[in-house]
Amino acid sequence: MALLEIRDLHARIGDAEILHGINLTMDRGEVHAIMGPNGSGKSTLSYVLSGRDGYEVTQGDILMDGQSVLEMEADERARLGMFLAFQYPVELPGVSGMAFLRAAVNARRKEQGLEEVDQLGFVKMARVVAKTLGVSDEMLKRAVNVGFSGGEKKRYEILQMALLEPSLAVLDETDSGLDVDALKIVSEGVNAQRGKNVGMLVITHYQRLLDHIVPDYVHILAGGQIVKTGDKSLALEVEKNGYAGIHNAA
Amino acid sequence: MQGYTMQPELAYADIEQLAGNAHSALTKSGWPSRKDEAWKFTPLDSYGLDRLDAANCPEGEAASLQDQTIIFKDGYFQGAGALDSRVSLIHLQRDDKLLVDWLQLLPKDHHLSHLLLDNVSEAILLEVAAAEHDLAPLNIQFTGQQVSASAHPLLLVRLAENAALTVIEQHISSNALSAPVLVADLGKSASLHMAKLQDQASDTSHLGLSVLKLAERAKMNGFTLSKGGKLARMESHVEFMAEYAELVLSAIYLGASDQHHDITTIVQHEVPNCASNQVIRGVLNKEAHGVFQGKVRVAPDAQKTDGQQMSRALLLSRDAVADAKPELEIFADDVVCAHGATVGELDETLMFYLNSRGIPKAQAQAMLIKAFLGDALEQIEDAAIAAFMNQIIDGWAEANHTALSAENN
Repeated sequence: MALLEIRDLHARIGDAEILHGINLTMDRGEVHAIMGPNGSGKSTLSYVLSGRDGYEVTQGDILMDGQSVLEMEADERARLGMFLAFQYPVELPGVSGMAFLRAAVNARRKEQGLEEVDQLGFVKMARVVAKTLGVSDEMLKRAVNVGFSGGEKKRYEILQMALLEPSLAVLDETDSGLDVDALKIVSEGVNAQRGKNVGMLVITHYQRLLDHIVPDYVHILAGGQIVKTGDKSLALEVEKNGYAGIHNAA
Repeated sequence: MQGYTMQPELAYADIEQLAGNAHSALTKSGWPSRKDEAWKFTPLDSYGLDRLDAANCPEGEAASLQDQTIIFKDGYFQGAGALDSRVSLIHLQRDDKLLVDWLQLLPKDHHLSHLLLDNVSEAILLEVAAAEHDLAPLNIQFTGQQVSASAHPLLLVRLAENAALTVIEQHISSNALSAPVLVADLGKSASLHMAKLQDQASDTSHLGLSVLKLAERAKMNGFTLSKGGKLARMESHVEFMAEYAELVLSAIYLGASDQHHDITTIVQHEVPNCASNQVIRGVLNKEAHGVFQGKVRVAPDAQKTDGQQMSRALLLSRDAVADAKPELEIFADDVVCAHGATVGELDETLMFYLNSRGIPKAQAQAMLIKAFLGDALEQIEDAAIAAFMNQIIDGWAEANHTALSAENN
């Protein structure tokens, strides 16, 4: 059974329909890239998948492991194993990073019928994972994302992903705002988590991220629809000819 | 602006005179209404308080009490556990000359002063001497069971030079009206850390008045959490009497159903080189109403004053209302003073971030409420008191999550 199946998905914000019938099937272990120009519906797709309030699905369905998630709230989808790495991670002044990470991990563990992790055990666990991603102890102690640089925020997103061990990870423009070095660190963090149990949907405007996180499939999103699907060479084609060429050809 | 330094012509007044004058004033004015500037957000005339009589002195005494504990019941002293040797407890009766002296310190022409003077029958005076060691926090409970009566407990605290005391006051009475008055006189370099919890029965009212006098280099840190009752006004008057004294006043109100919480402060910088910092936070659910009125007065001579005041309210419901009236009256020219007030709602972006990590809506909302209140909670110096207050706030947040109603809208 497919990990993720998006069937004829139409969605709108307010009165504006942004997604006009998206179809996509992804299995565990696969990495799919969704590329598209500004305004093509990339971020909308990531929010609709993760269940953000205000994004209304008017037609079609989203299935995880064969189960429709349309009626589920964002937090329920997350506990089921969906993870969204934000394009712009938000700052949470006054919310301790450790308390936040532990609340998230325990919410997921509870859903899986696992025992919750106590504070001490969690600190140890988080430190080990954080070290591999270049997230310092000092960052872990701070309030969530407060005072973090752009690169630190993205690493913190990948840290959350590593701790939550999702089955479906949606990475929304994870490369935006990153310099080459930061991009490399973040990509290594993502690649370390690639495996047979997780499917990744990598949403990006630019091909450069896909040099680091090499996708199995590339989909071109334009005007709220997937207009072309191919392998990683499609990304290079976009790089060479721009989106206009692809869209017109399709 | 009322001044409340000792007035010679009143220094010889006796209790009957004071009570009589207060009674006449109350009879003449009635409960303050919306037209009264100091009460325009909290008009007492609309709360059906008129027919209350002061509670009778309850029979019997409190059973054996824990150390450092004092109990008031129905406005009367009920007993105390063993107190630290540096704390002397004196039970003053109505006709005690010493009581009259203390009563001179109350704000003049003030409704809450009149209310006390009209009803006062006794007081507890705590005299605290300087100590080598830290005293264990003093726990003072205000209880009451006469549900149709009013209670008027009076607590007087005098800290000697270099004395330090931590007090936690818990107001958990079922009296229809509790109108407790605290007068604290901090000596030179004395330090008072006072945390108050107002968690009275749901159909009761609370009209509290605290009067604080700070001598040279005295330090006052007051925290208030108002969450119980149907109507609560917790008013503080602070006067800097000599230089280099410091004040921190922080308060949190948590309003549910149709509760009304009012935090009112009047801080008077009469002398140079003193600092005051006020941190007020409120969270309002359903049709609750929150009020913060804060006046900072800096006298012409009070140069180098540092006066800060910030009030923020968080509305969990479209029907909740927050009013703020910050006032700065500055007559000196070399001061650093700032004030501000904001009212806002929970940020959907922050909620979504937490939800997207699997954190359920109720828990996410509680985390954001706690974060919002953090600046005020951080002012509590005593770790055990901070933990206690945190627990109360957690319970409130859990009981007041709006996630379900938001989903149904």
